[in-house]
Amino acid sequence: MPTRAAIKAIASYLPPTRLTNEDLAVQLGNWTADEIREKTGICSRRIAGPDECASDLGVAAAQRLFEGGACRPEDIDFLMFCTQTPDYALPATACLVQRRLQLRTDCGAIDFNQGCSGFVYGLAVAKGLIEAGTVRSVLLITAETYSKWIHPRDRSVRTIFGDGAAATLVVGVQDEQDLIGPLVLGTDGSGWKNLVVPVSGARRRRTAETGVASEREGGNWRSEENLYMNGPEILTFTLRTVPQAVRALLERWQHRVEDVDLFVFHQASRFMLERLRDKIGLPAQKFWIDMEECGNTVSATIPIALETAMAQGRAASGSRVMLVGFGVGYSWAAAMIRCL
Amino acid sequence: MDRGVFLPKLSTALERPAGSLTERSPLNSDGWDSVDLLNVIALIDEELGLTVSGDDFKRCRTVGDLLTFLEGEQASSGHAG
Repeated sequence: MPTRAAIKAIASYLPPTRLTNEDLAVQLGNWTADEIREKTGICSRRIAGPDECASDLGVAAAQRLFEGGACRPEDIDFLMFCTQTPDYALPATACLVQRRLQLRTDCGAIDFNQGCSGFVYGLAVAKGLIEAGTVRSVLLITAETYSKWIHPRDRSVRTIFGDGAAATLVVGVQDEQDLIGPLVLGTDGSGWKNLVVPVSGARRRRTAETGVASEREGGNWRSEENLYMNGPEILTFTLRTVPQAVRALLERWQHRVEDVDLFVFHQASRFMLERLRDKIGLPAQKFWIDMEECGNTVSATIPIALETAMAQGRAASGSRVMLVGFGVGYSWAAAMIRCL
Repeated sequence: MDRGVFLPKLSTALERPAGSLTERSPLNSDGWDSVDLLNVIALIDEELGLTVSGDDFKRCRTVGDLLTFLEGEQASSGHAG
């Protein structure tokens, strides 16, 4: 029987500090707490402290995974760390995490820079590593602290994003059928400017001016060193691209919508998810929407949602779940998984 | 497209009083906030099956211009009216 990569366990970690809609209503004016909840589907989001970085959130999530008995640190053959807020430009945050988790020194470790599609991309790569026989187990950590990029007076993004992490154990098992797959991947860099931190890397150097905030559209304030998101353009991209990706995946899988037990899309915002669900024609009772207490945690939204679904029995053993990540890049990835 | 059906829905999407928008009303999309834009993009997608971007609105001076633009898009994409 062939070796198939499968998700064995997921554990999440959210930093303790809460930013509620009430806090935002006071700080930002314009919107009431109820309006924020209605428009975003979010009641509160968690914010990493000044000394809390992506590595800290990722380590905490992995420690929960180990404490839950899924595996021990020495069982990990490969660590993949997905983040867009690495502790340092170099070395890779995965190397720091290897040390803190006391993974073996003959364990592979890499960072990869992806956002909303990162978890599914991570599964694609983990599947490749395991099914080629290179490794037997992969620890996929998705950890994000977008709050560190966000200007406090930028309502457009402050209401949406939250910090958080998930640690997912992917292992090889003997099975006749694919347990992760098929997959559909996509990229369109023409949308790069619509979700970006303009001064954040080698392309544009920081100067005295780049850190100075100014008032922009809608009364939002930001500098060139802050996160910028063009929500309407992201919506247009999403409505154009995601339904096609879902159709392509179903075709590859040679099944229909009715054969999917649960749809777990990237939890971008309630507005976007409801539009997508209705446009594609997915049944509401099988379509996961829950970001009320953590907001949009970027690459961690899908594993956090899956963890909750599994805990509630909505993704039980044998369940066929469709995962769809989409967003910054533009980048997207969709996968069918079968739960162990 | 049935303009008589679509216009009131556009009013609602822009959170204007019912009947306040006519084809001669200026579109003023520069004055829309991102919530307006999201609502209109979603409305057009839902009602007409078209995905338009914020830039498309900038070319339309009046509501009538927008409806004409959308009808043109429908025709070229083969959607039924």
